[in-house]
Amino acid sequence: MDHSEGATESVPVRFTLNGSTVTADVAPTERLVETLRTRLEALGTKVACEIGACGVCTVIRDGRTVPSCLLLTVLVDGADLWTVEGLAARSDLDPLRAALLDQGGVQCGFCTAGQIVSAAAYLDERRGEDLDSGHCSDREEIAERMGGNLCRCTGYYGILRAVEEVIS
Amino acid sequence: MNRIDVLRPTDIQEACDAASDEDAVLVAGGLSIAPAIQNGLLAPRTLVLLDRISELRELTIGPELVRIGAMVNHSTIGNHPALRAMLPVLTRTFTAFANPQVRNAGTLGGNLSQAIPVYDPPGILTALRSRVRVVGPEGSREIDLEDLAIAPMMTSLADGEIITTVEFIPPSPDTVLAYTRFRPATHDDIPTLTAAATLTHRDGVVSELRLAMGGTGPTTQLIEATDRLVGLDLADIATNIGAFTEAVSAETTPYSDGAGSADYKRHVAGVIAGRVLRDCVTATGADHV
Repeated sequence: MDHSEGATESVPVRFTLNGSTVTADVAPTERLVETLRTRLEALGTKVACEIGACGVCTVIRDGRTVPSCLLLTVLVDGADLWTVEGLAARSDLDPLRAALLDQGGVQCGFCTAGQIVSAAAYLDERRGEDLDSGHCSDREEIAERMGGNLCRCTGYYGILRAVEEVIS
Repeated sequence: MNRIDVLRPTDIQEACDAASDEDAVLVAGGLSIAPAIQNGLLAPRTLVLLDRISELRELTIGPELVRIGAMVNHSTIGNHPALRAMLPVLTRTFTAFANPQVRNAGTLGGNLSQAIPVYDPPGILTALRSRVRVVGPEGSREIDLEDLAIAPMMTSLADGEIITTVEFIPPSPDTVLAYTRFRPATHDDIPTLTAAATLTHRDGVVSELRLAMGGTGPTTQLIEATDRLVGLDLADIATNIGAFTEAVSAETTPYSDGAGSADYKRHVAGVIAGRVLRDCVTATGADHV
């Protein structure tokens, strides 16, 4: 990524990342995934499709999953962001991690960070209760909430079973 | 010097003034802007971020009016319990297209302002007779949603005009809504064709039928062939669907592109028009489909 096309003046942004305040001077058209990976050394968030379709760039902004490959960093000024690194410290997610391994939800691991971020956000949304999501079953709800995280290895069932195991 | 200014207005008039510059780009959810700049389709001198304008996030769901602010996210619309109770077909659509991450960050105004007729929101909202409020340096005006887009990626908005809200009157109890989208298996989930219909019936007779289709031409298309079904008994719709779908095909003018040839799309348009019409009849609870 070349941030030096002409003298594009950088913009200061300030936000909370995994519980700590961070500041950065970013190019106006810089995307959040670039900022995370190149300025903040948060490499857990990946880049692949760059059109918001695959989910490896998923982060949590103000409680909701968003595609960091498409978000201009200037848009997260003042926001509360969580990446997979921040979720690593949460022991309440141990059952999810164990279930992903037990259920065959991890093979090459490239999509795994994004899967965990989406699953964690969904689990937090539920907080142990049924959601009023309009879906007729947990399975349908899980499939919808995890639908933005593609996987080329596992065939998905291991991942979905893992989330189902945790909520039951 | 390629300086890009980033402005973050807190009220609409400030945003309109900033947006009046023809090299200014309005940023809603921002999801389409990064790729457009990457691809050289956009070269803004100023980015006007709309995310600090609280009135653009208004969401009012009531029996007389549904009003959605332009900066409301698709997932907020789709997951709204009161809106789901009123129009489950609408909320199901807003929890189905793209994926959760995109639905969480994308906005209704951002989607509609791209004027892409195969996107899901414009078709279904046009079937609901939605109106769009637009505010500009000269004041505010209201237009029918079907008059917002004039061609793909081109709206009828003047420089400095901003969509503020989209609103519709909830359909009466004797009106049903149905929606269907047709797409091949693609990673980007953008439909090839969409069909949204509202059907009003009285005493087993079709009194009104409105069919909005996407992908059949440069903008959302309100199909005129619906006229031949108004006045028919719901029970007679099934025998008339064949002629109806042919009439719909004949009325459409789709482009040939990577998603299909014009002939292919014309044929499919007829098929999904028939499908959505059957769904409407089913939704009325009538015995004959």
